[in-house]
Amino acid sequence: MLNISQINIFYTQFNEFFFSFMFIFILLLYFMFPLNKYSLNKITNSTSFKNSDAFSINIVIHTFFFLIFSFFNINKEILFWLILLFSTFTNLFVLKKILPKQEVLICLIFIILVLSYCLKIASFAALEWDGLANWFYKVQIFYQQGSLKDLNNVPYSFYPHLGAYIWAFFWKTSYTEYEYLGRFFYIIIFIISSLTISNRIKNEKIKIIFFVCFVLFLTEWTLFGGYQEYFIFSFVTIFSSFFFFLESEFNKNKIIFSLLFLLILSILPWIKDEGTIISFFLVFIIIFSEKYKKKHLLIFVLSFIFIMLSSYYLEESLKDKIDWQFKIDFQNLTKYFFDFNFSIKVLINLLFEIAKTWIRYPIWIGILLASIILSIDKKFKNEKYVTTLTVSFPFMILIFFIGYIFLFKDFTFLDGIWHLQTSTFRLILEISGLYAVLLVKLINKNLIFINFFCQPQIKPYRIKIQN
Amino acid sequence: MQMKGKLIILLLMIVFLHNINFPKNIFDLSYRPYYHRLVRELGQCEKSGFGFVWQVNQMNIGENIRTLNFANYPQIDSLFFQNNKSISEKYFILINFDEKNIEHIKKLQDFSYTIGIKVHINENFKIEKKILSCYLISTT
Repeated sequence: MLNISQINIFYTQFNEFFFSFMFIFILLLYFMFPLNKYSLNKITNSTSFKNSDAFSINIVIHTFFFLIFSFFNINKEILFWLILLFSTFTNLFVLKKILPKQEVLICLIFIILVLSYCLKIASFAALEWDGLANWFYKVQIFYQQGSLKDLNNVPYSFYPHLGAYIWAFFWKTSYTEYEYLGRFFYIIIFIISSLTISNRIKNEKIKIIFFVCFVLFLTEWTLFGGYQEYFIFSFVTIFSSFFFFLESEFNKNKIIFSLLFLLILSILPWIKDEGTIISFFLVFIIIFSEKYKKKHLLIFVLSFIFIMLSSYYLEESLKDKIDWQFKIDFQNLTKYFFDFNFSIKVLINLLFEIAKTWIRYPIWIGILLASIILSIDKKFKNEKYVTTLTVSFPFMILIFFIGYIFLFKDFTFLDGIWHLQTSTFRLILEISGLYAVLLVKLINKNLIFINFFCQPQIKPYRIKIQN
Repeated sequence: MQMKGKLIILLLMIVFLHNINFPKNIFDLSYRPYYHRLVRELGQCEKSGFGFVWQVNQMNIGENIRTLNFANYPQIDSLFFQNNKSISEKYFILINFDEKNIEHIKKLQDFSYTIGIKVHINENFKIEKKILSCYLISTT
């Protein structure tokens, strides 16, 4: 028979699984506030928003407030429990309304994916290279109630701190020693953003298949070990799912949508250095896609520039210096950009790495096929998003290329090839959500063709003719 | 959805959960303590030397001690980082270090700890604690 100490050991060991399991649901409940599907549709005077849309908008709102809170030393626990309390009350009474029968299956798959992914990183527990070497110092500072000034005392102090703050926030509010509970946030935003873009597919069966494939094909376990790539990926994907779809909702609620886009664009630079470049890139996509009228576009771009400038000065005043991982050498650009041999060597290696990434993340094969089909097909010639996105991809490669030319002094293995190998796939992953739009659009346009294969064949009744 | 479709989804889910080691992850989480899982992944005295660094941090030296790893593994100082404590200039942890290896001794004199930070330790260090290839040393 078990004695008390044995039961105690069993209990404490089982404790970790219980905490992890419960914390996943607590986190999901946390992000169900302030909006749910019901309230979002009411505010926007629409019926087409789904639970994933409300979740995504909530994530953006919460992240923005996390950014503001990170500048002050706010008690994380009180804030967490308050929001959880509000979320419980606002969602409890409308639970039936926000979870209709049609969405039960996809919700079930969503929960299975979140659970299995979270439990996998909890079981692995360890952090990966960048997580240990750069990010976890910042997490420790915020976990131990440190301030932004303390960031100057740790390695890579110039890296943005938002991801580390949120990680520390959820770790702290879990009341345990297990830091991985804070990393559940990355998994949840990755899967929710994937679900949001999948929900733009009209056919229910294809939507489920696309959602599962999208998540599985873009999973890179190493990047859940403390990296910030999925944070950027999720925000880019959320941006794409609201910008390239929901035309009528956009026209009805331009201010709400513009605020959402501005929030996303202003948050990206606080996640990682390349977030700034991606942010500007998305603004160019907004400009060229001609979704806004000229007057509105001007206001939007001016607001964006104002936010970026104030973010820059704010960061500079808080952290004393704004720096990049490598010294940006403008001499490199003039020296090497016009050195044909060097430039060709970098370009070929970069293209080779990008080609490797397409195999690494097979969703890109679908994206490439979609971009080719959509560009060739005359039906889509008037669709502005096709040209904007297909033209923007080579432009993105050009930005990567110029970026690498800035960094490399000599194209040896350690100085050049190694950096290309370890960073290109991450950059491509970050923008996957943006180009997945092409695949979703193609699926939606060819639904008649797909439905033909998906519909069950109806057997004809045999009619007996009696004489 | 038809019964056949539901069965296919169920089957695919089972394959997925098996592929992701779902039952093993639950077992790990329930019966293998956090510390043991970290030692499994980061090493006792090999890889990043988590077990040894953890032991040193139990000694309550009162400062953050830098770990210098001589193999190609990340430093795990951040796991034990205390924001209110200074970084020790006296004590260092050496992982995957061989005191008889001249290259290692040479590297110790000009060790690239991280971007922009270099550590210089001369040969006259004192070994405070040693387990296999893990050392806690003090400099004078």
